[in-house]
Amino acid sequence: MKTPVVLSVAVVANSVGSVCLARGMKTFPGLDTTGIAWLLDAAAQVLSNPWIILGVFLLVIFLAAYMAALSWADLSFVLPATAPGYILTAILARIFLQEDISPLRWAGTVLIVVGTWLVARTYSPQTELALKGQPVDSRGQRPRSTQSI
Amino acid sequence: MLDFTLLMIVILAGAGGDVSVTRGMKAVGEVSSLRPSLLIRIVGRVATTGWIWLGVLCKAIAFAGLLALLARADLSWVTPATAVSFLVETLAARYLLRERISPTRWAGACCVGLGVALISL
Repeated sequence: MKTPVVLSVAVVANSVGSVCLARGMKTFPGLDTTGIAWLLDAAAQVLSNPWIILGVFLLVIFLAAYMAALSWADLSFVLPATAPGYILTAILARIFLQEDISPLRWAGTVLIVVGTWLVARTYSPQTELALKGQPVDSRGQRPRSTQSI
Repeated sequence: MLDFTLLMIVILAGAGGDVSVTRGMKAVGEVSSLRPSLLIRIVGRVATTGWIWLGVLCKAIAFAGLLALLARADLSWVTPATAVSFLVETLAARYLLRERISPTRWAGACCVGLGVALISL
């Protein structure tokens, strides 16, 4: 139960946060100064932009949920399981950022979702990573061979 | 060219960060409760795990690269383009973290990589 909940929080926070961040960076007006003054000016503008602040806050939430999931699940599972966010991000970008998305891009997005669905099917609560980095089975035994491909 | 370089930085630093964070979180132990007293202890363990700090550093580098890339390109290109990191990270999970990765999981990762290629066209 906790895996779908935590991953859903991660996905939504990631997508909405990314869109906020992109919105903030796009409203970045041109700067007249150069050199170190440009860097400080840019940093001040970036840090005081509400979209960027909101985006960063949401991405921090994503990170917390993501790290929590990693404490019990494989990286190779959690990673693609957070990928449905790509569809959500594309839709949000279309609505809020008025970005055009070609049919080819949509096809690619669909492929990504198919791929993540495939990976989601391989979830095994018993694949555990022991502290030494060797996978153990559910009885805590180390298999003789760790080759999987 | 700059876009591609930035993308490479985002992907590689991101992969390194995820591998380190996974290593660290496995050492911290399973997060199984939202009780504040337990959460504080977990946060404490996280803050004192070296792998986590290494991961944070890598992720910070990836984040800086991502911000730079976002200022130049569409989000709906950038986000999926960085998804090729799935392949990179699955490889890293296999060889650095020694996770068991079934053919189905590999197929899924390849699908994602293919989807990314389509999106970048």
